[in-house]
Amino acid sequence: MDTPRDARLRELARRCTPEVARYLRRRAYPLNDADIEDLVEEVLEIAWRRLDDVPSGAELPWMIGVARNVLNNARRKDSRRRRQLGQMRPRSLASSAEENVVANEQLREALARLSALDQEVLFLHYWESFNTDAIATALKISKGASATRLSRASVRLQEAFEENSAASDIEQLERTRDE
Amino acid sequence: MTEHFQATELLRAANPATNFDIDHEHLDQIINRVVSIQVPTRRSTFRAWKMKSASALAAAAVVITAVVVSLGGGTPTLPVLALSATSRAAASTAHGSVDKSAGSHSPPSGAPTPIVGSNTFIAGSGLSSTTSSAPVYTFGEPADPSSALMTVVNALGVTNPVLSGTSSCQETATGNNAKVYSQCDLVAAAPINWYYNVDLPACQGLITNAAGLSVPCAVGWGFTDSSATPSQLTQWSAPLVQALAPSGVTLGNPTFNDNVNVVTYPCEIDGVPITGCSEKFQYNNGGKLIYATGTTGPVGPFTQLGIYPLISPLAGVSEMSGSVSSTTSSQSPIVVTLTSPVLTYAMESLTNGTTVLVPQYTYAGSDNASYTTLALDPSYFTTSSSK
Repeated sequence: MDTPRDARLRELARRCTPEVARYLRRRAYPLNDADIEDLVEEVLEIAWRRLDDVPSGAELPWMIGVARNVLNNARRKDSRRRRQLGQMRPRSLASSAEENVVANEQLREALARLSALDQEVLFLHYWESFNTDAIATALKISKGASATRLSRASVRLQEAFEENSAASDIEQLERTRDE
Repeated sequence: MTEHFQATELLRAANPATNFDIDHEHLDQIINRVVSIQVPTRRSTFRAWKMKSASALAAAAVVITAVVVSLGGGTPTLPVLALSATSRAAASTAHGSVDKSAGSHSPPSGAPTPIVGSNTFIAGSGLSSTTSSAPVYTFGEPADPSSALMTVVNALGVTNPVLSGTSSCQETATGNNAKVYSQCDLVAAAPINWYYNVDLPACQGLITNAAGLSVPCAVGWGFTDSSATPSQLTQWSAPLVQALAPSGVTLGNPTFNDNVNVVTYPCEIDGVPITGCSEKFQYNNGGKLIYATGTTGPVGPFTQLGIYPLISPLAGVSEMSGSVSSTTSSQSPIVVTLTSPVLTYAMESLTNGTTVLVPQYTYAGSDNASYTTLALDPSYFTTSSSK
């Protein structure tokens, strides 16, 4: 017999887990299904323990925020293990989305020049289609800070991208001249 | 020349959109495993720790080394506290707890959320550099878990309870209308936390509400559209509050999470809140108690170990900053300004299993989170996790 807490968790899990799983796959590409399920289970365990804290109406952003923390923790553990094993383990969780998915070299380099939080805000907005309210919930920052950060991060990305483009143009010009 | 694109549009286009869907049977299995976990522990606290020196490690083997430190000038000597490696506080340099009531700084009463990543802490203006002192307490003798649980069960009105124990410190009372279970900390003998869940009829999808309408179970049970007011929550919980208050502490003013009809009363000693000790009640919109949790058993009476010197709130920020470990180069540190320190107590365990109440500072972070750090002068404690 389900208790109310059980039922609430089931309802939350069925509603949010598909998106959480897709988020994990996007952000920790490539991961196999079993790894994703392990991370999903960890997310749900935290949700279960903190069920009272899940904000009504913002369940998905809250869950994505938890998933982000779970993923970051897993990456750190994986990174430590790989260091202990002399870097012999293949890249797995440590691989970030931007390293594996963003094919445009200039964009990848521009992203790498942003802070982790700026990157996260951009990914949440442009990949997860989160508005600034949802970003605020996921990252546990104020709505005002979320809007400001998204705006600034977009500008910084564009600036970094254009600087890279300019550098690339100069290189191309120099190559052409040498030829 | 390279065509100049909008970077954000390129980023949007790079979205590795996936049709991945988790296997539904696997998901059901995962959910079943998760809801079988009987450990909604709400007492862990992440905090900053100054890494101890090797000489301090040697001292950590001693549980309480009597007459180790003297304040000089005839001041009574104080025992150095050897905090357990498995203490909630030990072994972590990450810390932080989200204050759900953003903008109003109060000691956290719920489970803290670790702030992932590397934070850099700076002191806000007006943080005092004045040191002070505060008592450290030890808990009372451990109580029998069964009798402690039965006190809770009776107060909650659980009918025909049947007791069953699954371990030396975990007991369950299953009644006709609800289930209550208690669990003591595996490190320390005290205190005991209890959890109450009311039984509701099994529901697959829809349930008929009072108006005769078919609504989803969660709606029918009052999990969504929670609309109880703080005064209603106070009124409903009033009869239970004092009956369930742990001995030796007083309950402070309630806080409300009326999104989910939850009222929480913090435990206090000498007017100072005890982090991780609270009484929490959740009701449906009709005033029926559907979930509760709290602390019971051998909490008090407390014994004062002594009046310990504390570092200043300003020095507390330095302690936190000094403890922060660097993360991967791709993660830039987040700078958090700490203000409004509040003295609270943390429940920690010593290496001999004794639980103590030690002073800590709880700060308001500029990121709307709360952060805690031990307020004890570092000369007066060791932690065996420091390696």
